[in-house]
Amino acid sequence: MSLVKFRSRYFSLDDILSSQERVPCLFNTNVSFLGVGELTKKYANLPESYIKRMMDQAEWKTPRGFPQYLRREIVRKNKYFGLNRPWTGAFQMENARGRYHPKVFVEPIKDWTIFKGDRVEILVGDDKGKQGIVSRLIQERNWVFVEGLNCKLKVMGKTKTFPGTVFRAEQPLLVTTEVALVDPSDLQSTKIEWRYNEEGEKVRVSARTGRIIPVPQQADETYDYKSKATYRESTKDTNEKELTKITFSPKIKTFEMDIMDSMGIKEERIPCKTYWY
Amino acid sequence: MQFFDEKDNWERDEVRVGRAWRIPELRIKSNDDLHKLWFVLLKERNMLMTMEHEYKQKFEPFPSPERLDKVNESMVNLEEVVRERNRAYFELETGETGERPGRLTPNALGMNYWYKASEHVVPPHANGTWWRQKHLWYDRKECAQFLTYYREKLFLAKRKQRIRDRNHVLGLLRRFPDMDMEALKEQYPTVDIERVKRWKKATGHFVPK
Amino acid sequence: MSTRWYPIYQKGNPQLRVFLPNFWMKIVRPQVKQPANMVKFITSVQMTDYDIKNYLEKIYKVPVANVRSEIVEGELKRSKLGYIIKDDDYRAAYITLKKGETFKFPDICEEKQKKDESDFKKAQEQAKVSYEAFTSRNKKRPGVPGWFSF
Repeated sequence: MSLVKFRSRYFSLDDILSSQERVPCLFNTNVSFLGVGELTKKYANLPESYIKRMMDQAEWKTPRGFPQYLRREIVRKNKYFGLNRPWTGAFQMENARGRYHPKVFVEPIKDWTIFKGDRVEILVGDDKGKQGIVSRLIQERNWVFVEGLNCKLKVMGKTKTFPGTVFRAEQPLLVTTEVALVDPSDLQSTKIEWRYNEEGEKVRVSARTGRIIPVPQQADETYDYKSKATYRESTKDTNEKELTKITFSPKIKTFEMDIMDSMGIKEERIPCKTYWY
Repeated sequence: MQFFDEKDNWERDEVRVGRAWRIPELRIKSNDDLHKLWFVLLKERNMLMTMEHEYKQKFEPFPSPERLDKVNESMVNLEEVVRERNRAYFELETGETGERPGRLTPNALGMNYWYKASEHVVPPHANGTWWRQKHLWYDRKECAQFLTYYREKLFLAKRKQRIRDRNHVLGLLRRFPDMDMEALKEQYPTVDIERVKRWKKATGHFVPK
Repeated sequence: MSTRWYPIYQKGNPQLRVFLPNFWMKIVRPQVKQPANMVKFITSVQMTDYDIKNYLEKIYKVPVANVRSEIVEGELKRSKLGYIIKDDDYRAAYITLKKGETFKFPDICEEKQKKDESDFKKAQEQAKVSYEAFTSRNKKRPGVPGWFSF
């Protein structure tokens, strides 16, 4: 702990810093590597704080809300995004202490064009020229998985006496160069453009035929529901009727005064004068 | 005791629930409703904490831990709505927000920070203890050296980041020569891409068209 | 004023009230065997015994006869990299229920453990049985695939 001399008194540096709320950030946190993609977050349907909590794997954090503690934490910093979803245990294993991964270069994309449920043509590998449906996306790596295509055989549960079970695992394809969207009007692959239609909505347009390629319904799918209409309410959910009911009426009262009135608490005493500094 | 979850959820691996309350949804609710909802959320949070503790003790995974985050988010949003209403009242009646006052002041090391004022019974001129304890001033002479070093540290960190970004962009240009340059510029605003593009490091091993 | 600011009290002031308390509280299984009317809680450190009593009686409608509580210091641990980390402090509260009331901590995880175990065992046994059947059938003609017979 470093000490700073002050006339006749000594303070520790931490004593002085602990009183302050906003310490200027010493290091730029804008890491070159991308964070979690928007589409991933949408699919997860989880609070952002939860995803962050799971990714950070905080070993230790100083208690928040107490003046004697600085904001300090021991968390995972450089995250590697592989095949696993950021909030899963497998992701944590992949990013465990002592695990190192080669640096990944991800091509920046302005507008994401291929979504879950789209029909795409594969442009590389053994399945070159075949068409399939996109089953999964990993936006952090610009990856798509095509259902039943571009597969690798994998063996699981092999022991000395048991040869294990063999299954086909779909391998990722780069969304920029390794797949192309299929125009549903003539089932040929095409490049696409984002344009605005007459209603002012952003739509995908085939560059070759000029037809609109609608975004499939499956794109709205999340971990919890296939579509918003088919969501099944759990017992603890507030139903929509209750949720949209307007019970607010403006009053010239604070929250506390209003609650006291409705609870029948009467308070006539006036507080003494205090000073804020 | 209402500290435990429903019995059906005890042996489940996953408990599906909806999302948190959002601010616009809470704004249309009366103060009484918000007050009731707060206690519902408080009880839910206690229940989840109890269950989490028990599962942890028994070395079992706690089903759907995101429920805790959802409840916390709802509580933060609810409090925000209540503060918003109180702020409106105080601004109408007194012309002030009624929030805890604060100001930007230098601390003993000469670094600016947000000083949060607190409530006192005596006025500041009569409060010697406060004057002695709070160091909202600094000696420019003594802190000058420290501040120079501190700013240098900030500058070096920034420069390091800039160089790192530039090198990353070089790697990207080498690997993806046909990349969308606008997207690249958007993501790395500190890098002068037009200049960097011509560097030897940015061209990969391919035959030019 | 922000709801989290607790104003200072002077004689003659209005009674201080908290409308949106953010104290937390959880029941835990006591490590030492306790009488049937005793419940162990872990609460936020700022709570007093009166707070705990009021909290349980008003919010949970639990009849409380007595509260004893103490602040327990969080455990100090050494991490693998050498630095020392400390768990948060907490307040352990022992509550005596009123006469006639009893509390038993439910077995939450036991049913789950039983279910998990049985499922896993069943799948394992089934895989073993089917593989043995396959190998015994093909004992006299090794290398022939399973579908090559009637």
